[in-house]
Amino acid sequence: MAKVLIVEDDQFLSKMYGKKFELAGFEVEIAMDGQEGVSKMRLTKPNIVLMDIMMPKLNGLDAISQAKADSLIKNIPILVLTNLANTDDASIAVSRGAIGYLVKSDVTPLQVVEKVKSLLASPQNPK
Amino acid sequence: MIKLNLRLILIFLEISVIPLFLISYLALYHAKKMVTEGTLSQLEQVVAVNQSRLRIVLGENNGIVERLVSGVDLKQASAAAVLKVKIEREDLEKILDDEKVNISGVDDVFLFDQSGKILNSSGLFKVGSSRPALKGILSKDKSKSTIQKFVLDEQGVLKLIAFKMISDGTNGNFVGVQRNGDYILSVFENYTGLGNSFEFLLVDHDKYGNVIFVNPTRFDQAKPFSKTTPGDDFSQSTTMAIAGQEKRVEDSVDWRGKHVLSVTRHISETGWGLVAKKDQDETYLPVLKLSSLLAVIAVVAVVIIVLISLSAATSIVAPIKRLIGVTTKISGGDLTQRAVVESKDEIGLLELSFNEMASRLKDSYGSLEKKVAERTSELEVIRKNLEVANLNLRELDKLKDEFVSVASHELRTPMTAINGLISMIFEGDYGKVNVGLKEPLQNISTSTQRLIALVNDMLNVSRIETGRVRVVLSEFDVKPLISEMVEQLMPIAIEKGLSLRFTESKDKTLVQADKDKIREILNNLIGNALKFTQTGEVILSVTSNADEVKVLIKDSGYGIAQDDQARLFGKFKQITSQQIGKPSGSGLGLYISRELARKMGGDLWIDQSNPGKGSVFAFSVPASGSGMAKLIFEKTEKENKPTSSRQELMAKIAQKKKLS
Repeated sequence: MAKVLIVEDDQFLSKMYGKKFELAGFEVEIAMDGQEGVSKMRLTKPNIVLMDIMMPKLNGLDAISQAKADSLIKNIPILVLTNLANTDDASIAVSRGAIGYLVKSDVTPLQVVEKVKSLLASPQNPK
Repeated sequence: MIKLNLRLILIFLEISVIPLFLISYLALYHAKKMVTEGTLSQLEQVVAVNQSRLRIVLGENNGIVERLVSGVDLKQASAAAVLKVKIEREDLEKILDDEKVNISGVDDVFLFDQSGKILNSSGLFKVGSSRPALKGILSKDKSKSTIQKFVLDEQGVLKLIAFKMISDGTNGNFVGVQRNGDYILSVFENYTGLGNSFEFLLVDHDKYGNVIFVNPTRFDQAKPFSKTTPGDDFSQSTTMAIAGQEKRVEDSVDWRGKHVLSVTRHISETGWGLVAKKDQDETYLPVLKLSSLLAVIAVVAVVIIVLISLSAATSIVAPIKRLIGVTTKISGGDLTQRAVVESKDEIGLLELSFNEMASRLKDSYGSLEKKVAERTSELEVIRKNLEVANLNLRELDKLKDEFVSVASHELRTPMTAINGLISMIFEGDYGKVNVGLKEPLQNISTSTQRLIALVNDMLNVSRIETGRVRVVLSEFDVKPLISEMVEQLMPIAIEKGLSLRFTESKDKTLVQADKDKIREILNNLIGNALKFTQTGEVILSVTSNADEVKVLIKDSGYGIAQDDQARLFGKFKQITSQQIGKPSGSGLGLYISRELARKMGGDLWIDQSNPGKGSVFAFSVPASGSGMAKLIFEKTEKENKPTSSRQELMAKIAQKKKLS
């Protein structure tokens, strides 16, 4: 069973995505901020991480940087999931090491699951 | 300064020197005239006196001759049948005695014939001797009146012979009286007191018609009858005199060739000429002296005048010079300079009023400076205020930016939840859905999606307006992109029963543009086309030339009236009509699409549209390699700002989230 870590500070959203992934047969871990996200990455070693950007304590981009700096977890693919619709942010995210970028309000939870599935199927696939 | 000085001096000179010269000239002229008159009068007097004295002598001679003639005649008459004329010497002597005339200088009285032979004499001449002198004076006149003539006798001495023909039946006999020439000439005034160049001349004609000088000349002591001048040379007054002209001659030439003043007289009885003359040199000497004196005086006067006028001019010009100095200094910037008022005349007045003017100028300058300073400080305040306002505006802009970003982000999150959950409900993730719930749930979903679209559009507009839209250029073929969007929106078309297709073309369609933005534009235009078409089709096509690639979206929808077309591109503008009702959408789509197209160097417009006949929308982007492509590339290179400000913004939003 694939494990997905959802790093998202909005509880409704994290619950929603969590449920969808569970229904799709994934093991789901949730973190509320970037810091928790990084430590949970170390702890649970998910197959993929869904990272929000706008979070307290440590924002998503910095969290990505931290993760990629940690040899233990740097290979875990991170998909940015945010409501900031800006090509700037997309390129920053990618430059930090994210493998993709999704705008939450533009996609349904099902579409997110599909995207994750396809990413896990071919890990080198960039957005 | 030189000019004024010179002018003044010239004026002074003119004023003083011109009258000076005028008066001098007049004086000299008058002097000359007076001298001339005086001299001529003097000469006239002399010549008149000499003339009358000469006439007396001639009268005397005439008397003697007449007596002789009558004596001889009487004798002739009494002697009957005497053939030879014979007068006793005693008779002749007696005649002389009888006359009892104390006539001095009488040499002899005598009788002579035509050949000059002495027939009888009172003692001096031998009877029977021949006198060529007599013959000489006879040859001309055969008249019966007394003839008097100067001659040189046998010894070369000057004599005057008066003779007359006697009528004794035998023609050609004369009676004559001879007088001493020098004695006669002595009746003339001597030269004393008349000047060094005074000369008196007695002239006669010689037998050749020349003018012969009888009395000895003064200047070369020529002896009597030794000098002649041409008888036609009327430049000489002697010639005039002998010709009978009696006049005052101001200028003529004498026998020496010198210019003289002369007065002429004529003795008509004998045909002699009398001339009293004086050299012009001597005559006008005093005048010359006077003119020399005047010249010296004039020169001295001019020098004095020049000196005086120099100082006068300088004194007039000096205050002007001073004033010029002051004005120069003032115009140089020193407004404190004032003229020194020294005189009470017009120049003083000028200086006074100049000073006043300078003071006023200084005051107004001062007040002007004050005003300028005031105004400058006012402007400084305004400037500072403007700066503050500017900063505030920038702050405001940033805040607006933040607000929009924050708002859109904040708005999106709950909407994502709503949308997501509804879709999950529909997907059966929360159990079977009651049929009756389907419609309301669907409506909620649609409404939420509209909200999301609205928020997206507002965010886009805000970003476009604040210039935050980042254009990422790349070169690509636009056709696959069109196909992609067609595929994406096909479900909507199918649902409405519309045909949606892309007619390929062989044109080269390589563009330089932002892929995502093209997708947005296509999404908007195709979406609009589908929205506003009830039946029929939506067809996409593409054309190109060297400069741009044009994409056309044709629909068979409601069409747009001319008047409405322009309004469409405004913000929040949509066409509402009874047919369509109020359409969905934010009304920002066309605005955003057009701004995006323009940002990439292209444009978006309505190619054609008529109510009931459908529309053709078009947009263009620069063809790869075109001039516009290059321009846009350079522009976007410059415009794409660093991302640090963006990160600042994100940090701020995160902070706000923490607080809320």
